[in-house]
Amino acid sequence: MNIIAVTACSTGIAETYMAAEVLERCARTRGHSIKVETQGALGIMDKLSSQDIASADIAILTNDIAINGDDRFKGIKTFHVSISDILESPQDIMSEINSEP
Amino acid sequence: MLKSAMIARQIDGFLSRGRLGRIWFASHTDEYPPNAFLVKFARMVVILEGTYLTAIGHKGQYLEIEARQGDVIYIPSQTWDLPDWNTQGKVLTLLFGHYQIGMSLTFSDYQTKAASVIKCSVPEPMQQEGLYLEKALCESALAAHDNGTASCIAEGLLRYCRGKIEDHRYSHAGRSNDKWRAISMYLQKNFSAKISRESVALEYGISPNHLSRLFREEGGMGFNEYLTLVRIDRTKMLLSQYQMNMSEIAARTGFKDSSYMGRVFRKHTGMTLGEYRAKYAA
Repeated sequence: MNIIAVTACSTGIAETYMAAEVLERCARTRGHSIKVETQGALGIMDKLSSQDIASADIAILTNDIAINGDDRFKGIKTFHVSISDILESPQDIMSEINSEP
Repeated sequence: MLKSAMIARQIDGFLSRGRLGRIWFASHTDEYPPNAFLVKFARMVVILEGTYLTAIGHKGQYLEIEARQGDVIYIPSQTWDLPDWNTQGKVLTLLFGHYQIGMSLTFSDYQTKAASVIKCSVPEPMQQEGLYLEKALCESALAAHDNGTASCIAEGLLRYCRGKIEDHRYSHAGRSNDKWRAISMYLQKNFSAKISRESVALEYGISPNHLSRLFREEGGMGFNEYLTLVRIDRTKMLLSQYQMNMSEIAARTGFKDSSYMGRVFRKHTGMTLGEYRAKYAA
């Protein structure tokens, strides 16, 4: 499965980046390909290209603060999750994704 | 007001009120709290006003800190901290990324989360004096006695970052600028591969003509010219620092062969590869 994700947390100092790493690790161990855009205090990093978005099966967006450009993901099956869900129980998110038809 | 200008004003106000206080250094511990903040880049927390409660690893131990105005906490990459926002204060966190410097100004007011936040980033990593200051700060952590050096260096680092906001004050051109920056970074990473205007345009989902326009408007030069400059820069470095032969250098810099590399190099520098090496070899 092709997964894209955007992470952002309120202070932008650490959790944004930690959540991105966790998602990458969990998705890859389950054999998915993943690309994560981070929107933290370092600005927007690893920005998803329109190609990344066009070829994605699902999108994971964090919902702690507003995401920049969330209108890019129209028409893609999207999961809204909190940063703490990602950091504390990433396997639950992956299981939910896997159970998608 | 721009977020960067708001942060700049806060730093200026803080610096005008006096010197930095105590400097804490986080260090690696084998274990750390499950919700600790641990990232791949270094951070520096400056308490601008009030109090900041946090915990860090320090000499192998868990250390709780109640930092006050003027104090600084330096957290190297792969070491952790764990802020507790249930206090009152105004704190600036600097993030030293690989491609940019980030700044996050947080206000806390006895809540479980930061009450409000202003963020901005400078689209270039620490360079020259900034890097040396950071290195010096890390060295000062190892000193047997704190004679005030660390706080002076930390202040220098803060002033350096403050200056970077100034440098980029007029470069808030928005999205086309962001895209150009992203693509130029991509070129700086991938110059050794077979990349072309078409392949990069495809990678970023834009047309080759749009890509050329972006480079002319934002970078003041064409795409191929930019890519050539990146390759020549690397060629110069390899010529002066390593004893590789020309074919090896061409392979590592993305030129199709060494004679083509030689022609392009001469056109841009007025020197042959051999002349450059003879003049600048270490």
